[in-house]
Amino acid sequence: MDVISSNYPGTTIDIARGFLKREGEQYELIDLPGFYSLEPTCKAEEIAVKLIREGDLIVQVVNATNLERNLNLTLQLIQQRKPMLIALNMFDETKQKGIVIDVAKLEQILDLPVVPTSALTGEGIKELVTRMKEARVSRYRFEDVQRWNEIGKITGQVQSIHPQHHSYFERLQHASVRPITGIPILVVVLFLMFTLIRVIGEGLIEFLLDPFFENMWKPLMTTLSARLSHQSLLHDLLIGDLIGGEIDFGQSFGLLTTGLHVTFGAVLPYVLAFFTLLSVLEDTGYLPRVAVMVDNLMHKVGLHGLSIIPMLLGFGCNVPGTMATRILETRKEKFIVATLIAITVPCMAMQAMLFGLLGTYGVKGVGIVYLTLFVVWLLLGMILKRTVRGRSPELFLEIPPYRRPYFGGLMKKIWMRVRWFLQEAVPFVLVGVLIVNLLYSLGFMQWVSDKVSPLFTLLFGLPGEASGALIIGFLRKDLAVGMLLPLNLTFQQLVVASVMLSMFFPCIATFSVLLKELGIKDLLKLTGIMLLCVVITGSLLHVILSLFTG
Amino acid sequence: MESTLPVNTLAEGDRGEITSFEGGFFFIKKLEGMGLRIGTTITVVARQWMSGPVIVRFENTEVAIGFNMAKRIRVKRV
Repeated sequence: MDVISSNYPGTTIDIARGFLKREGEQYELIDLPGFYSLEPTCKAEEIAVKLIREGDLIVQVVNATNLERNLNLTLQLIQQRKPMLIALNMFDETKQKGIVIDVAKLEQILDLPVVPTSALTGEGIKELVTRMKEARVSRYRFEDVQRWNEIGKITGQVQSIHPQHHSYFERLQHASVRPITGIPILVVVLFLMFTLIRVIGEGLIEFLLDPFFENMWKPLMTTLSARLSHQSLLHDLLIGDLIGGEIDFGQSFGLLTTGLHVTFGAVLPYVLAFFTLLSVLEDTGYLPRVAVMVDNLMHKVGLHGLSIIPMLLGFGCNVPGTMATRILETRKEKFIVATLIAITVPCMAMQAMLFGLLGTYGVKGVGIVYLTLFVVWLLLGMILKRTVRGRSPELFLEIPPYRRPYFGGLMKKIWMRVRWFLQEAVPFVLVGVLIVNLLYSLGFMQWVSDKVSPLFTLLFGLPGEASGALIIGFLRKDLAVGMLLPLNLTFQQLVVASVMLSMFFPCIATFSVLLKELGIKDLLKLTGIMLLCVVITGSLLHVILSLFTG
Repeated sequence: MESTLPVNTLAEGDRGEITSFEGGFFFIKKLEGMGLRIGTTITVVARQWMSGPVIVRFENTEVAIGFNMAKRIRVKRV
């Protein structure tokens, strides 16, 4: 069963279902988002409670290192009078923490099968599945108002704790969240991440993908090109234009040339690198600490620390970033985060394009773009904080201990996120290439660029043709490179165009997710805000840069 | 009568026993779901600058509590 879960609440955002066949019986497994009590405090928990009521059998995954808190839910579940089974998970960690649990006694008191498990090492999982048929309705009775007393009694009888010394590990955990040490650590981690993403991404491109595309794919396509008549529709569709008599993966715009290269040869390496590193960071338990440290900053834009996570995901791909807004409690937060992601967070496709256009100018060009996006993020966030109606709740988050990531789970998580990206990217890129070709042949692009030319030159210092890039950017950000390259823009123009492209309409995949998450009214509001921002920022940036370059 | 303090005023290393919550149904349920209730002893493990969240430890859990929430949880020093 495939599911992504992490140490912060709400990452199991989609209810995952799977099937298990054991001893002739077929079970449908439903994985629920983590919750601590049957009295729900947010949407995800409400859904979980509903599903429990509908289920036939409950397997409660209890954190063995936190028995008291988990027993609260156990007792509430017992009152549901459904067949139940307990997986006493993270059992291996109890030894580290000096906790000893009398499992047999716990089984006796609760009148339920209790199976110690460790998801990390895989211990106990087989036993859990075998004992599923033993699930029964517990005959344990207690008064609900006395629940916490009951819990205390139970732990008193089954658990004994031998306090451990402040280990080295614990000191690291605290150092990484206290500001004086925590912030420098965060800066180092971010720097490392950025460097590794570049190294891995560029490495994949240089040693794997470019050789493949140049030495194997290109000759193949060239042969195909020769076979098809150069004027035919099929040639245009599959191969596209020949630039200087040759196939150019950036500009040819054929389905099999630009279409495939853009996703697999340019963006995928970075997406892969990004999601790998992010998932490692997630599984070690570092991200909740980041949420704590950035909480102050987030409050300035009407959010709280946890909002950093959707935004962080947005740097890989805006689609999972926007979907992750489900972990936020209020409508106000969801709207602000979704808007900020759509307008100011550039995804990997956009960033790959950014480096493709401005890379040769060094840090200067790219730096200005990122800085501008950050400034817009801050200003827009502050405005939205005051203008959007609703509550801004407080951070309330469990901080897990640092854990070594479990390789199997990690690989699965990374694969799922990359697969998500591919499922969104490939069809849209291919459709995008088709539409570009179509619009060109209809003369639509030329018509638009003529119409906006005076406006573009006046406000943004850009030729009317740049509008083509913006239109394409609506479909896929990375295709726009092919539109801007032939225009031979100056450094200044490239900067303005890149910023505008990054802010203008998120790619259509994101747009459809936004429609689902926000609804049509809020989406229209977002679009209006976005257009305003693009025009203002483009014009201001144009003016500011002109002043500097004289 | 012993004086009680809100959690956000405690320093790193301070321990307190929760005496009351200043909030409604959802507020209390949320805290209870995490295991924080009247009588729980907490230790402040980390503080942030300005009005950042406070991280407290109790039993075997560490939880970050936003500043405005921490203001509404009162403890007596132990």
